[in-house]
Amino acid sequence: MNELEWLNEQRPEVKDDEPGRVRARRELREHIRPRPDRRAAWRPRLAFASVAALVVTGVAIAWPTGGPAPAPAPTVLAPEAPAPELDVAPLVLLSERIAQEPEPQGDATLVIRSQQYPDDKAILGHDLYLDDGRYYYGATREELKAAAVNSRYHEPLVKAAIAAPALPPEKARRAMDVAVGGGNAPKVSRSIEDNHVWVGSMDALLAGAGRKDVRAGVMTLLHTIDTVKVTEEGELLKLTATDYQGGYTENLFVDAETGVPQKFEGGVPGKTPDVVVDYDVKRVTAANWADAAGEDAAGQAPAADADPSRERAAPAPPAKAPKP
Amino acid sequence: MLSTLELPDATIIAASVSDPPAFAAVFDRHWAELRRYCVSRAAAVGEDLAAETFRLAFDRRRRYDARYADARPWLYGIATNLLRRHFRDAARRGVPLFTRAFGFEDDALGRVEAQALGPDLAAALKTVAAADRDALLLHAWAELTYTEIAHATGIPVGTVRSRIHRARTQLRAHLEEIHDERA
Repeated sequence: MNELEWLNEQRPEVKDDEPGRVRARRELREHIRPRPDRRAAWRPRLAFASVAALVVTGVAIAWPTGGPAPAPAPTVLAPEAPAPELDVAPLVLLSERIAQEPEPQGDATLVIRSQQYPDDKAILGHDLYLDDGRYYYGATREELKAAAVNSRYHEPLVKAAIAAPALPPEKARRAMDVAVGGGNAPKVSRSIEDNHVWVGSMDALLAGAGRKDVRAGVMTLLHTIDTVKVTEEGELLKLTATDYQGGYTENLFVDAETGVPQKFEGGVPGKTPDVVVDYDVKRVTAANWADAAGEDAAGQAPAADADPSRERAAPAPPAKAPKP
Repeated sequence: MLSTLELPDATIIAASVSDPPAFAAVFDRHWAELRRYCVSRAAAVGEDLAAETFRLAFDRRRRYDARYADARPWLYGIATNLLRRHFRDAARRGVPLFTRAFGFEDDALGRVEAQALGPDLAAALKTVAAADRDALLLHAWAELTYTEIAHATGIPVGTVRSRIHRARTQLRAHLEEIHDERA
């Protein structure tokens, strides 16, 4: 008997489990049915309701005046953009502008998010991304306080973004593709690589939203995707990716001055979005992130165990209030 | 017209982009094997991980590379990542946030994984690095080819070959050692 045969002989016996199969199938069906596109809902990363949440209806933007933001109602994606489409150069300019920002304080980025589906209440989440690569997740502030490290999934994506401005575009794209592939990836067609760069850049942008080097790098990468359209919407830039099947479109809204992500929409234009995500981004120190979360967590007081002598969280550069 | 039983996975997955319920056919086709693999590696939790694999696969279906007709490598790749995360999280569970550096070595065969495998397998695989272990078990238990493992794990075929060779060598040495001791 060779070692492979021995390995198979030793394999733990697994009996068929029909109730388990039925349960898993039902769960999958439930997962599919009410949320026809749960892009990124599989991991505790995207989306949370924010004080700075933008409630977008078409191109009209409401700016909350304070208090917890209500869950945004599902809205209808605007049909093809009435706003002027810009040359992609704005992303290059934005990258250069971001690079001129002063060095951010803190050592972590806190993203408070709301993910909204057409027939669901908002799904809330708190994501804490440390600059050293560790990622923590909690649905609530309290859960986040108790959380052990979730993963380091974003670390290579962030590194690829930071490296991008110093690399030739093709190498920068390839580096992000490899990062998305978990360290290695077969060379793929341009359109598939575009998709990988888009997805990886958005993940990196969230994980490094409080860092100017990451935001600048992400804008550099997004500039390389020929099919991404850039339009101005008030004080925001709307980045649109349409290279999907079935008319599905993704829109990422970032602050036009800072590149800080504000909102994500996925769906078919003209129909209710499959998912809308609002982000509230803060630059924090890992030691006192709870203070920052408390300011926005539905009126909750700052953490009782927080040391008030510590430096308060410095908000990431906020989006400007849109002009009325 | 072909039934879903005759269609390649890639076609079904592409159809599920506009017709999400179509994805259930992928589940029906691969659930039993994938669950068996996950439960073999992670005991009862493996069933949850197998179920999560299909949910993740559904969420990622737009990114499926249609050049691959058979979705098994894709599914096993997702499952492998979930298993790794499960083993890592289990090793780190209970460690408070920000209070100490994590000393966990990814290569170590952790307590949870060892318990699921049982004492003999755990003893045999404890010296096999995690990545080598994944490649070996994907080959032996999931019956993936080297090329399919490369696709599943995103590494070159040559690396898969060397990982499995290294793992088999270590496993063979362990078995010979046991044989000698018993003799």
